[in-house]
Amino acid sequence: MSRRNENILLDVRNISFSFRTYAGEVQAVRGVSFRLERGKSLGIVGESGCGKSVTAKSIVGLNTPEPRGFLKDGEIWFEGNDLAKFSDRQMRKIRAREIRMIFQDPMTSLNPTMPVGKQIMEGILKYGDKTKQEAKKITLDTLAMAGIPSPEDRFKQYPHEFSGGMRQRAMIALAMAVNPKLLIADEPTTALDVTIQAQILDLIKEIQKKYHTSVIMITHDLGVVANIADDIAVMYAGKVVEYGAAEDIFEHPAHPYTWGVLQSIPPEDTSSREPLRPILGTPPDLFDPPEGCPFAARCPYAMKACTSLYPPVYTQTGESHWASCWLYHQKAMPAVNPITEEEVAKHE
Amino acid sequence: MSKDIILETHDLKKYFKIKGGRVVKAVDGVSIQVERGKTLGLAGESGCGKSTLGRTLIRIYEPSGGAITLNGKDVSGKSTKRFRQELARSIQMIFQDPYACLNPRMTVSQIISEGWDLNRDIHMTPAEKKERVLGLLQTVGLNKEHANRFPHEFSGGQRQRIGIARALSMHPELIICDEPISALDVSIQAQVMNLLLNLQREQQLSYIFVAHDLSMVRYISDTVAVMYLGSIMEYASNGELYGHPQHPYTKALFSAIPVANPKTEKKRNRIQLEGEIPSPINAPKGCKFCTRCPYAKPVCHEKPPALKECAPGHLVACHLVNE
Amino acid sequence: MDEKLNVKDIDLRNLDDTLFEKDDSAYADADKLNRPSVTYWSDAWRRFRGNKVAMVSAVILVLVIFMAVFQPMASPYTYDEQDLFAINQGPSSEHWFGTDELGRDIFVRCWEGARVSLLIAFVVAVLNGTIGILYGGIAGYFGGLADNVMMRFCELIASIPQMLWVVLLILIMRPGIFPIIIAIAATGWIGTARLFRGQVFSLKESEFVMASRTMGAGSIWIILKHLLPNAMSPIIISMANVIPGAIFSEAFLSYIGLGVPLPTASWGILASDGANKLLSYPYQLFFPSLLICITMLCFNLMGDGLRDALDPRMRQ
Repeated sequence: MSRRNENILLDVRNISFSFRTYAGEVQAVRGVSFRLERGKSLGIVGESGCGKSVTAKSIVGLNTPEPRGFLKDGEIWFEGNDLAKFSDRQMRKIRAREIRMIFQDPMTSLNPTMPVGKQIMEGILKYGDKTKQEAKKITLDTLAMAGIPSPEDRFKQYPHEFSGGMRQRAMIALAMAVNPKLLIADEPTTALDVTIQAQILDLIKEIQKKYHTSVIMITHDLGVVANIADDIAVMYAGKVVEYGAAEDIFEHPAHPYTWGVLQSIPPEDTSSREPLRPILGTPPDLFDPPEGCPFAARCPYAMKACTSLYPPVYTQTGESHWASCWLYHQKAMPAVNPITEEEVAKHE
Repeated sequence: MSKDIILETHDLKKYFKIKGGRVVKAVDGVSIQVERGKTLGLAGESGCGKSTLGRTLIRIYEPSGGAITLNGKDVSGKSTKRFRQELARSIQMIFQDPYACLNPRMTVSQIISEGWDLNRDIHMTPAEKKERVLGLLQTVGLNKEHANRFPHEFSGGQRQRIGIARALSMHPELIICDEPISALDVSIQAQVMNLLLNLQREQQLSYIFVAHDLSMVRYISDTVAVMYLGSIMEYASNGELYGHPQHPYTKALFSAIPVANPKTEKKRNRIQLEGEIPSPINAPKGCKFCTRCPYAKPVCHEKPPALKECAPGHLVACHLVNE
Repeated sequence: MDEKLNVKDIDLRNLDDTLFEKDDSAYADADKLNRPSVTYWSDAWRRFRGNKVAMVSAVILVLVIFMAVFQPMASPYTYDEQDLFAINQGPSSEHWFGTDELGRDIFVRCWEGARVSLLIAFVVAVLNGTIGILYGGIAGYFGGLADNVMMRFCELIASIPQMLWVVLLILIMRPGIFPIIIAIAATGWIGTARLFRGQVFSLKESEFVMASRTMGAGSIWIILKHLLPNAMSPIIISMANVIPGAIFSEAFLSYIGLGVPLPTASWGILASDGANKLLSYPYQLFFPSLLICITMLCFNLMGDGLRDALDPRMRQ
């Protein structure tokens, strides 16, 4: 517990989360740490199975009733409290007022048997101190803010009467009606059409600006993260392999996995039709995660150390930009960063 | 300049009747051309009919109207079993969901050789079949130990490759790729895309590439058709379309694609579209896009615009552009 | 950065030089399959084995079947042998389950009865399954009008409770083992048909079926090669639950006097006889009932275990 920086809203320290299944323990998240400042946004990117969703849900305690999930280790500091030590009841209050979550499928948060307006009102009244009238007004205002036309009519409608994009907005309204400090968005636009996706992302950015809400955006789409994130955490096989400001990650990526991902996206100029550079192989089995760096098996720069020891964190040139990779050790073999085309700088 | 056209459609339609006597005009008069050895990209959002178009071409759905010509021959007639088996040797398909496109109870080898097993005209000895299966596995980057395994033992990318091997087993000339990479992780998408391109080069395959990921469509296509609610809005060569889009929908679509570059993203001027995509049941009377177009004029609500050439090889269906 | 170093107490400077040599041996194996090949059935069996309750039930059922088959052969008494000097005796070392009002050994009658009850139950299950699959398969695959008509017919039949149908049919035919089987199966197939139809309905839209069509497959190929193998698990589970239902139906029929004709013994007959004497000789009801209960319970538990083992959603 170091210096208390008033600007830090969420401080996740070395959390590990596992699930007990019939086939053994799945180590979904292994030692993840990051910080989020007030009013800023963090993008967590990674492929399916890397643990980004589990990480986010662990923050609000949404994993535990499911197939025997348990927080193995770590602390989650939020406004002076360690959420990891909170009881179910305390977490429910946090989820109701302080940290809200939106998902890929709006029907996971919207009750199909209740009118939308009523659901939002309920959320405001629970644990809160508003009157019914105040709650109704806030609901209507929030629906309007979320871009839903004629909120008075929509207030009485059921979720199935909303179209896809509208449902997403309704879910956002439901989340924002209580003015939470932190909004966690778990792949909210993955299932949407491109034009609707753009609208929703703009809405989230507006919310961030207007209400000074912090946002954690979980996605596998680098374009989405480039749009909306101030900082980015790149996850692979349950660990954060690189972390930094968005510009740093895209312009000076430091980890071979990040290089691989950036290289496999089609370039903006497609006239040459050069082959894309994929990352060979598939992510490792989380029942038996490898000893060293989980990316070693797919990494063209792998060294012997990579398969036996997990590399330490090496800071990069950008402020708060770091990556866990043995290439930065002074004894490492020379390598060239394929994105910047510069020699990889060794550390002392 | 005569092009070697392998597949052409003329005003192709596919309508679905649903309860209440209403009609879903999923594909509403589409005319496209695919050149041999080249890729036609179909871009558009949900409800635009691109998937339905692909499936109608391969006769999963029967066309409701219009014509399809393959290698100059009209193939829009009634599809008997014999006809479908013959068609299977010319056109094949790769599907979207790698977890659903392979029968979980069949081995990889059985899946790939299914086309040979059920076709009366194909006679191969078991040894020949085995050899061909192994050859196909190698072509797609898998190896012989995979032949006797079951689909659930493979990752998404590997399953998609098995699907490609299956499509290749029939030696088709044209492969319809129906969102083949949407369900895959980014790093795996590149693997599959490279494979598709290599195969195209080596075997002179023609592709129809259907996807909602516009950057991938852009990467692989030679010509692109932008669809909306069953009609083609714009049709041009790759470079021309992405360089000089004319249709308001195309422009809006391109401005909405997220780009993996924070500086570009933050500076962008996105074209905001009002509202949502109307249901294909209640498509607008005039231009399909008129309800959301920022430039819509009265004529746009009355009459659907024809697909006219605005530059060599570049067709647009828009009253404003074609004036 | 107050990030904890993962490489705990190792001094980074003094790491051996060889550690930093290139090592892309793992890279070459990137596409290998790690786990050994498991078919769906072997995986399901493994899961079933792990389910203790289901395994115990299965073992008990095997025992019951074993006893039903062999005990009457090995028994010193036959099921209809009367010993009027030993009537209504409680359980003893000569008669493990006691004797009834005609001096017949209840133990052997229980197992003789088991043969009858289990035979009826198994044949009913097979008939249910066969008719159900055929009917449901046709309705589900062809859909449209055929499906509509066929399913409405099912609903008509199902609107009358099954037991009523059974009783009605028995009254029309004369009571006997095969009439009972027919009566119970006559309306029992409807559940299976509905189940299978539902499976076929959803599966026929699957992408792998579509893929098969693009290869030129016809309907029969698709039904046999694709739909049937994938729709089997719910049927198997349903069969495991049909059996206890049939056992109960037979018991009920016998109880109301419409069961197997005397002197054939069945569990229902035994229970019926025993019920008459409940207050004076409770053991005569207790043993057959116990067997009925245990068998039904075990089939149900095993059915649950099968469902857990075969249900693909539990994978992962």
